[in-house]
Amino acid sequence: MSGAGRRVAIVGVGYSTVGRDTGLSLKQLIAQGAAAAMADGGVEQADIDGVAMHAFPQHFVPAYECGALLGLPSLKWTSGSIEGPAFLSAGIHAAAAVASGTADVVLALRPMLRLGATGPTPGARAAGGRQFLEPFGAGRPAQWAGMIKQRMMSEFGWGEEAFGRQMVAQREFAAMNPDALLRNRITLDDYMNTRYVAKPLRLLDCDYPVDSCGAVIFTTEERARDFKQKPVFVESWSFGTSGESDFELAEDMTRTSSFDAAAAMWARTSLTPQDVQVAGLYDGFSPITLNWMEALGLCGRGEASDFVAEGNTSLGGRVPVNCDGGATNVGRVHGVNHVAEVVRQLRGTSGDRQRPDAKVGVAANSIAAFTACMLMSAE
Amino acid sequence: MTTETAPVRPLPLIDDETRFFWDGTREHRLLMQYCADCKRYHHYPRPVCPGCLSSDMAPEELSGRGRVYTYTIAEQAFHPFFADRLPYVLVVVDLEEQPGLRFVSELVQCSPEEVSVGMPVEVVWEDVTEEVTLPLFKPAGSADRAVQA
Repeated sequence: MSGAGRRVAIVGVGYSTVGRDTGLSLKQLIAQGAAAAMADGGVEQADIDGVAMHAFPQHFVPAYECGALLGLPSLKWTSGSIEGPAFLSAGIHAAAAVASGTADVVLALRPMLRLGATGPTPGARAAGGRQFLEPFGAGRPAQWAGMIKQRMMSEFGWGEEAFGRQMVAQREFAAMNPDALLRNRITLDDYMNTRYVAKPLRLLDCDYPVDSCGAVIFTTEERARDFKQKPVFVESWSFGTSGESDFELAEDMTRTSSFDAAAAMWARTSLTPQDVQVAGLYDGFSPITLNWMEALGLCGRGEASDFVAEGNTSLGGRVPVNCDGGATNVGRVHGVNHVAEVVRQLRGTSGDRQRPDAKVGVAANSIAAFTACMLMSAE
Repeated sequence: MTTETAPVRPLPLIDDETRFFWDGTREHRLLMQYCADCKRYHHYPRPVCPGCLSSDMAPEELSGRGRVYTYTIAEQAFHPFFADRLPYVLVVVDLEEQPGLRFVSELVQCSPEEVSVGMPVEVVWEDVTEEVTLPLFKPAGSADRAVQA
């Protein structure tokens, strides 16, 4: 358990319709995602007394408004965030609210509409810190991800295969996941032949933008026994932040705040990195996935390339990573999928993708300026 | 936006906090805030020193020399101005005055095949408008060639 407080469990996970052009509004996506998680857990409206949501500012619907939308008229606690590490912003807020006793059953939501390859508006002036990026043609996420990938390759002597092998392994999982959007198997050659966005970052290093809302329901250990799924316990968590709030200026691109978040998470549990059997590691860009393998101590610093190449993260490996296919293949559910698939694995319901006897799993989101990770277990 | 005009490079929205920087670049001087107490430079411009929370930071001129910490080759444009300039090289420069003092810029006078981590670079000025001059970088010691605006 993460510090003092009540033991927290996850009892429901679910997604809205996820796709490129769903035609659904944000509120329709939220309603679908919430309903899916509630149905998964057998959770009724009357059970829920807290809502946490995380969204980009342009997609933000306040948590109290989500409560009204979903027929939850008297919440004890709400939290809306537009900052931080993807779904785990809402997920950790929800877990902390349950642990503290502020709420008993919290619905955590992460809605978004598909974002294309957006850039600065032509003719607009670049304000704030953006004025030190956009005039140079910099400042897009794929570009800082390309910078991080290059730094990892140069510092550790890796080839692009380091990242390609992980993306091939994830597509293999996706091929076994009926909910994945990209399911055709790929080879390392296929990966090496896709176009560059910001060299060395390739299109296949990037997640797949979609309309989506993922949802996860957190409650106490005691209440978890009332719901229909085998509970998955939340053992520990932490956020991480950095001395620089821009990804391009990260002081050490191969040892970012992800390492601090992981250290804080491990400090609050008797479990160790060697106990982890399955992982959901953010793959908005593939360098982030490999960074988390090292940050969490699943392998040593600079060793993620070998760790992947040895098959540890693939089907049948010691610590399969992104067993749903990851956001590169199931679509940008933005961190919810990394929690949801670990939950399914710890329940033992991942079918062909199941890591045998998985009892301990970890989910982690983002890199550099803001990060978070959450350790989970099953009995 | 009219169709007959060429796309214009994104320009900075200069504010009270950043004016010293752009005043400096217009004179072809690279200035950054320097905290006299902590003896440290800071970039971007900010209201207080993150070391000691002092607001007493004065702009100091830097040499404009450094090394490439990392880079990326932009192969896709996210703004119409850059569409005709692909591919171009974006660098994060480790400035020589202080470990970890970084500046994000474009590396010019250097083909994408020539750039490498650790490469010595130096500032070169691109006067974009009467108001705005950008500090770009080029391989150190190379003969200065005119930069195309």
